[in-house]
Amino acid sequence: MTAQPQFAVVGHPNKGKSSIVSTLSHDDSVQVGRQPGTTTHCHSYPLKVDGEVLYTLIDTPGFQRARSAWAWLQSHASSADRHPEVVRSFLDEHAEGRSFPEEVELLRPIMEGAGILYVVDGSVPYGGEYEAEMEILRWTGQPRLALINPIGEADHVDAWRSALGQYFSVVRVFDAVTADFNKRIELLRAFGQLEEAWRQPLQRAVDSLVADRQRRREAAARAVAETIAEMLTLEVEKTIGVHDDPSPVKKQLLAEYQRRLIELEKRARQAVEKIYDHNTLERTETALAALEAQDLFSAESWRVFGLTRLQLGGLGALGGAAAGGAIDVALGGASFLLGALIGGGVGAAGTIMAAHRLVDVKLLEISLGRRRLVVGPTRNRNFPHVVLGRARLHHALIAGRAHAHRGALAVDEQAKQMLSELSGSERKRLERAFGRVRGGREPSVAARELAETLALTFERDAP
Amino acid sequence: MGIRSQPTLGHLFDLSQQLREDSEASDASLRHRDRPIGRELKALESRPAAQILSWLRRIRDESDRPSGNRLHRLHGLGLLVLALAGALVGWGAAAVIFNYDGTHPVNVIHVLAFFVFLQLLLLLFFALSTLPAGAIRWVPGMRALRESFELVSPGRLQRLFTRYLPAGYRDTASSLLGKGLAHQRLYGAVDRWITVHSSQVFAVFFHVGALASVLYLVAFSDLAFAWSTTLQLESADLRRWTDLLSAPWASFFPDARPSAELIETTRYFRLQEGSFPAVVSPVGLGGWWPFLVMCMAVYGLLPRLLTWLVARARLRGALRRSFRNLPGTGDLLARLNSELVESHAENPDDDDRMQDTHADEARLATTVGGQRAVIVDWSEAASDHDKASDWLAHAAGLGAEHWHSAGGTRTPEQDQEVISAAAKEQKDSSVLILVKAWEPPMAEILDFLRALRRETKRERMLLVAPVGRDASGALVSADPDDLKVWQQSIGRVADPWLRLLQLGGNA
Repeated sequence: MTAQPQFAVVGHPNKGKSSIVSTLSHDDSVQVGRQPGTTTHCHSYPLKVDGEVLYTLIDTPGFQRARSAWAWLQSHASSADRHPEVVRSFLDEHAEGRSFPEEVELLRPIMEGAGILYVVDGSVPYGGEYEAEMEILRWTGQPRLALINPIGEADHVDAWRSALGQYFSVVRVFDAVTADFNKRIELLRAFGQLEEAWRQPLQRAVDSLVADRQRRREAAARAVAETIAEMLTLEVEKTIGVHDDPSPVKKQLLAEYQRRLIELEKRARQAVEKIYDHNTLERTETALAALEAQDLFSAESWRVFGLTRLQLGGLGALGGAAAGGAIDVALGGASFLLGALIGGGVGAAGTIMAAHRLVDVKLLEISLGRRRLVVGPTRNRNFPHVVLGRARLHHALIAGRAHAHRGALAVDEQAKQMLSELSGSERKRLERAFGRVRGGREPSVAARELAETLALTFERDAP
Repeated sequence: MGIRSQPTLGHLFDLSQQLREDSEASDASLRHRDRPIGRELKALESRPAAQILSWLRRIRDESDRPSGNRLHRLHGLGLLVLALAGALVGWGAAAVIFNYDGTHPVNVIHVLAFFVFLQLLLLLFFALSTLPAGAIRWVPGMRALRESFELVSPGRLQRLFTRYLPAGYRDTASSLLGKGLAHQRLYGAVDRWITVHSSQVFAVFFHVGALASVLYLVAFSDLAFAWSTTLQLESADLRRWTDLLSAPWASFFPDARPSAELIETTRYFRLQEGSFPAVVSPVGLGGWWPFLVMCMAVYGLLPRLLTWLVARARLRGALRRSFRNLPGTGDLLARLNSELVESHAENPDDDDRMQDTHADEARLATTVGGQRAVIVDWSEAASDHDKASDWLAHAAGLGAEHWHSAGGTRTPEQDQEVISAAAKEQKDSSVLILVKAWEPPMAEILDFLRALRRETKRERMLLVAPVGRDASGALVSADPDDLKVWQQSIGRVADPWLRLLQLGGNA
């Protein structure tokens, strides 16, 4: 048995081995594809905590000639106690040959002490062709756990559970694509059931992963808080002559102001995705593209994430122009991302949140007959709540997203429901933090305080 | 030895520069760099400023960028220049006010007005201008007053001073001042307290210079003092004032408290005959100086020393706050104090993990090209051969000649028997191999196809037909994605008479 637990993820080709590894190792660079033979060599994914390896996942090639290998083993067997020895002989004899390259590659780490994570697809029917490989794995004598990974929609989990139960001491259903953080942690704990000696390092690994999760959450909260602070203090300005018409410049500055806000939001999102190690998210499909299409100024964003008149009243924020924009858009009851919004024309048609309602434009006299046109900072009370709502949704989707998921993010009504409503006291705390950012001489201090509040909200959104 | 936790202006500059550079680097590389340092500095985890300072020292030691140090020295130099300027101005002011050319005596009222009352008034303004921003909001005109004071503050001379520095120093200074302007809100408090602190340094040395000047004049010239004012001020009134002013030291320094006689006898009127009261002795004329020196020390220098200490403490506080709250310090502290958890591939780029999957795809057939075929059921793709025959007749107009079963739970020897039998039967008809479309094409089916080809003539058509199953288990046409996978894999056999058969329709 190796000093630190190792787990060889084995199985038929294309049954989600690499997806399991990708999700458990938080590594979206793991090759996941439909073509069999994507993985041709073993690849180690050690979990290191401050350089110390607590366990290692080994992604292996799939079985290719299991029946022939099994026939070889049977032909060399004498008694059950010699089965592992026969498997070793198999490795010795075929180490250099070309008959069983995949079987040799995948069995080697197992015979060196790795535990077995056998992966099957629970969405396809069980077949007898799996029995040879399960027999081989049984002959290795190593601790074994079977994972039913339902790749498709059909449900054959019961049949699989029944068959696997005859070969494996622990059988679990684990969807690599949808598994959230807690499910991944549960699975790690299940690995500990395989071998008493593995429990302690695996428990340490679990503790470290939970702490690391917290670190990421706080980092995401800081990134969002600093962005909100920047947005709330953003100003764009231009100097014009005393006789110049300010109208075209004003329009230009408002557009620039909007662009900068959108850019800031985008930057924060990228930071959050990086924090959670999602480096290859696709944006080509409708889902995340839709969240981006519904930019900060879209009516839908304000309708969904802005506070209602009543909520603003509760914060003492109503009155004057401050909440003007909010009142205008908070009346609708439409749900987030109706089908029509995803289609074309949303960007333009939906942008009814005119910038002039969001921000004041000041024309200041300066020396030598020149004037300065200043747009911002925004005093709209609803604005930071809209930014925050969008950031919460994005964070919840990213933090809950498994790394094997390579499709686009789904931002829909259901996703919206991922976010629990903020309580009145939470809103007030946030409002105070926004106020400090706006009014304080040191918004970075206020941003830190805001980040601390946000981290708690994020924890509830994506535990 | 205690760990220093008070950052200087130089440290703030270095930290800001370092964090800006770090924002361009990958999180992984930063965590690898910082976590080992963090483990060594674990004892400082509860003292963030000290921990960041120690980290900064290590990071900056490794690089050759002395900008912060240079800035710190520059700030010190600026303060020295201000101190010298203050001392010179103080000396000059005292020399003017205490000027005695033998004709007109030094007017005590002038001295008190300039070195006591004006200073107290300035102190009052200073106190008001240092009120917290929240308090200022409620005092009408305070903001304007503060801004105007900051405009005329001698501390601003530091900015002017930077213009005349050597190039290396000038760049450093302007980058910080530039930062101060560009990020007024970020460094605003530091910037403001630098100005206030510098002003207090100037003021302290102004009073030191003035006192030194007075003492010099007292020591090396013969000053004559008198008092005179156009205000309705009687000797008794002045006496009350001087008693009040000298109260702090009267008990231990009685000579520095003007007597009634001195006050009475040193009053003079410019329109009087002669310059001085004739009855006063030369000793009496000089009797004021201990009182005036004490007034300058107690009401000028001492409060300024106190305001300097306050300004210094506030500057240090502002530096600490800015240092602790620069954007990026939260991430830095997390990098230092959180375990470095890594779970990525050890050698992600070290091999051929992607096989060449771009072999030519197998040619696609949609008909069998005959009425009959030898059927091989691979791995129980068709569990019920009778129903499967009906489906094949419906889907491909095919009548199955013979059914053979291979793969799945059968042994390789049994596969070989199937190959031999299929090779011998109906040599002119095709061999159709039914496979489960949802299962990936593995090496063993490719081995089977190659072996079958070896035993049949080269032109005999081998057709691989992936089939799907519906919820009831009946055969259906394969999913196009699965077909694509099979087509690519079958293509790897590179057999021109091996085709992928696409079957349509339900059983």
